[in-house]
Amino acid sequence: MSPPPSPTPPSKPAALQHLAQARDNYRLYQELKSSGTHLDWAVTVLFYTVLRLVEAYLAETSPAVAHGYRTHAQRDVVVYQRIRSIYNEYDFLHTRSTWARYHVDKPKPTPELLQQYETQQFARIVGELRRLGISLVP
Amino acid sequence: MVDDKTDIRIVQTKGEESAAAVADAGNEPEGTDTEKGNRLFLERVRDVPGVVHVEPYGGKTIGEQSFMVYVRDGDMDAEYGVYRVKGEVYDRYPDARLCVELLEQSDIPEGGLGISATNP
Repeated sequence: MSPPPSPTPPSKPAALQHLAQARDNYRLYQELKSSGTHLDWAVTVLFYTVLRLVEAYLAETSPAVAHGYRTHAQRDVVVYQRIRSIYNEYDFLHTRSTWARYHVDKPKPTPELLQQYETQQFARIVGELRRLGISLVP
Repeated sequence: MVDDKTDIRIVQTKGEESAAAVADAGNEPEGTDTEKGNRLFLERVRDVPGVVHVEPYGGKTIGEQSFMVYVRDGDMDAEYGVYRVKGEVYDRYPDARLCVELLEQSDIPEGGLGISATNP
């Protein structure tokens, strides 16, 4: 049995735009993480890095939705249907982002928790999307 | 065995007019995928171990409602169980649009949230 073909990088303009935004978001995440402050926003930017990677994949593979999804609910079902292998981790980070933005009673994420999100949920998503041809690292 | 009679359960939110009818059995319910998906989600999510409370909000009809689902603090299995139920809904109703916010037991306000779908 021959191995599966190597994924090719995205070529569609919308996918490239989303990918560029994902990389920009990730740079901001790294800055926030390094500063050690505003870690609530760091979690949020981490999720939006993932969201842009997902949009890049969907834009590359589903031309009909090249302009992206308008609501989280619309995107959520498509992530489940199209990239099921990352669905739990995607929802996990979405939840942490929502907590950080809307639930002021919740304690802000600690550096340890942030690192845990990055090395577990985030890394899994990034690895899976890289396998599908969407690489966070240029 | 499936009874022809549909069992309807009412889930109310505190001080709100909203109420969700939950069809437990019987024929395929009528309505949009989102309406049917919301019913199914509400029915199934309560049975996920570690889910302590489910709060519908934001709409008078089942199709308009969103859900706050409370799980035991730090219970990852419960959290992923909620996501699994969402997936089951999407499998059955691919056009459903679920609005689910996951929170923890410690986020329940003091005094509680009133009558609702609750798991001890």
